[in-house]
Amino acid sequence: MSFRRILTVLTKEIQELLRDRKLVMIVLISPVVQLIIFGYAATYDVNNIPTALIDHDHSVASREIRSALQSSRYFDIKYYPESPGEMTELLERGDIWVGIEIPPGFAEDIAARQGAEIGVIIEATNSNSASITAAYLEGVLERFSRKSLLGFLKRNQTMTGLIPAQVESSLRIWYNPDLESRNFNVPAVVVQILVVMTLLLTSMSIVREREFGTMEQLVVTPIRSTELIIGKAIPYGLIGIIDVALILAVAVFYFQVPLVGSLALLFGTAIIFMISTMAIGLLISTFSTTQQQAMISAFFFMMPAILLSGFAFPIENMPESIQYLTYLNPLRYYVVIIRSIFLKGVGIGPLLSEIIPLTVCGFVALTLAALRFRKRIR
Amino acid sequence: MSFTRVIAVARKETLQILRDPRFLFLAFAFPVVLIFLFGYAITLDVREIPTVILDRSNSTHSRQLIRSFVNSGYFSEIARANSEKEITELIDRGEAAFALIIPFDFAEQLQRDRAPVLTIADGSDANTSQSIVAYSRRILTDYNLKRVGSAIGIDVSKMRVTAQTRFWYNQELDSRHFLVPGLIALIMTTLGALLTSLTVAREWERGTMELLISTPIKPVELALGKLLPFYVIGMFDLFLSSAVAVIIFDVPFRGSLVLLTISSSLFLAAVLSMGYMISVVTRSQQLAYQVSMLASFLPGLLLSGFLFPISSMPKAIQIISLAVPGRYLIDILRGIFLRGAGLDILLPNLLALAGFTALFAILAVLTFRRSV
Repeated sequence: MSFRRILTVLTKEIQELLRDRKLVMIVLISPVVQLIIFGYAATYDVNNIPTALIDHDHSVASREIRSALQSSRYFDIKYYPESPGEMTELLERGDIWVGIEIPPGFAEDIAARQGAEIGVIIEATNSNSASITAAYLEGVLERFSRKSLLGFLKRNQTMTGLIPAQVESSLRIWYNPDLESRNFNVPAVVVQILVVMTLLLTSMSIVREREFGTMEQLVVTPIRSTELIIGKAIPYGLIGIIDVALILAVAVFYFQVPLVGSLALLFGTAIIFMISTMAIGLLISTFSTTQQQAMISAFFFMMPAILLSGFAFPIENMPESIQYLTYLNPLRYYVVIIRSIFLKGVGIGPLLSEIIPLTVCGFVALTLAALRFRKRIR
Repeated sequence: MSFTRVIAVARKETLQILRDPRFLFLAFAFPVVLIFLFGYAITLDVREIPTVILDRSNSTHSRQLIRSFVNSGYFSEIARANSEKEITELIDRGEAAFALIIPFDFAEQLQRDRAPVLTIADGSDANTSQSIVAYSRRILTDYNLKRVGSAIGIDVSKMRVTAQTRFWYNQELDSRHFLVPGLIALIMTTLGALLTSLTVAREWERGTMELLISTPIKPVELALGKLLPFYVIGMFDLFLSSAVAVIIFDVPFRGSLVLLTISSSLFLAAVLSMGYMISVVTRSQQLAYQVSMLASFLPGLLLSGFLFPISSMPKAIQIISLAVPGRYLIDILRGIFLRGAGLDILLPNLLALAGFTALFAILAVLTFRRSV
């Protein structure tokens, strides 16, 4: 392998890249803009749930339920419809997620100690938000029940002594005490932007030469396939490193995602990750004869790779056969790595079980790309 | 405008697509393969949260508390720890997401006023930890209520306020019903923009554009002719994916097929003309690809309401999301599939898509005229 020849290819590639001003702009500016927008968008937080309440009872108890809901910060009572029909309409139009109906005689039921029931309709199109909403609502109701029961016992002098001790839990949320889902999602968005930037560009790199007919010229030069591959990959790698620096800066300084772990480790693993995505891009490029083919193949690699990376859908919940499939996915490892470094601050030791397979992925893809490429030239 | 010229371009484009079997296969079959794969693979359901328990009290009371957690169906005990260090390790390695620690003096404290226990949630998975907070609170409140009831000898179930909850549109709370229509929209958004984004750029790159320009064809005719075959592919994919969703994944289909056809057509017109405009502006396939990917895939994934509810986003981002065509299709598909929504409810979405189509189409034709 000759270093000089790699350098020649490298210079040529960089010149080609720089000549395309629009591409350079996109590659450098768009990741930052994207992270800023997506960083705000990616939140699972369920609060201020738009709620409608019909109070048929107009009693102290029903007012207490209303204020318990309002003070819970989860529910935002936006509408007080007159009739169930009106509430249904609000629900159908998607203006509210929850409709609550307190029936007439609610306070009497409570006073008679017969158990009281309120009617609840939850718009469950989003099953995830719906089940969290239901749990919050039951929490509010149970606290209300407990309060009214204890109040009843306290008023009843003879029973006060019988009230048993209550179990209280202090809940600690590790790594992300404010339960800010942004802290969880921004690192994953970083991974997605990196893949889009590196994999797409490289997947077109070799097939471009072929489509333009300049490949023949490259073949007659004394350059070897590995040298060509390396020379082609390095400029994209450099772009990737600049992108990493830019978006990490946005994540840490703009979004204030706590970076507990080591920055050096984050950068080092980012480079290993990019090598693997670029290698896959190059591999796709060697398999394609037109840019159109390369593009659509890259897309159909990328989409499953992102959705099956565990960024939103836990891998443990997937069927076993698909879980095995995800072991081939470099994103799977990097999502774990970047989240662990950001939020948990773990060092290299516990991460080796992710870093090693990631490196293997990259190495295998790179070797395959070089082998494929050699065959194509001859 | 001449209809024959449109057809002539469409024929040329179709022939070009047909000559590339791999492209054809990917465009026709792959969306369906993806729906299959994702439909099985992805779910947001949080149940059986892996839990580690440290029971220092080891009393009947502590065992009772543990049972109420484990029997709730939300938490499944994966390990019994002997020290807090073990708990730290399990959570650090991501094997447990929730820990319940019961102190030595739990049973004694229960004889007094209040008995503290410690719970720990792994907050690095925000979705799960939100559920953990909600579920663990519920279980404890319920446990306390029952204690009060049994102490004074009354049946608490008669004393509490319960919610008679109905989950509309998705009774089993199956996240698949929510995700699969979104997936169809996500795949179609990206595919639509990608398929067309290269079509004009390629003609420029290969130098065949000059040939086309020297023919009597007008820009509008060229655009229509080039988009027609992709429209057919897109509609085919949409219907096939919808069929897979309904037949394989039991996603209910409560709306009207006619409305689905109309809105899919409008949507495809919007994304195809967006791709076409990108193609006209960029003139290079690599650039066109990059731009259309940026304009379609990540916004379609993150800003469309596919996963993250738009109403929870900050106002400014909600306004930006208005420019993402995928958001309207997701709304429409979920409306038609799950809610059986009619034209009256979906009309704003349809109008928005029509607006997009008009905007992109006019821009594309104008830019094209200038560049020639």
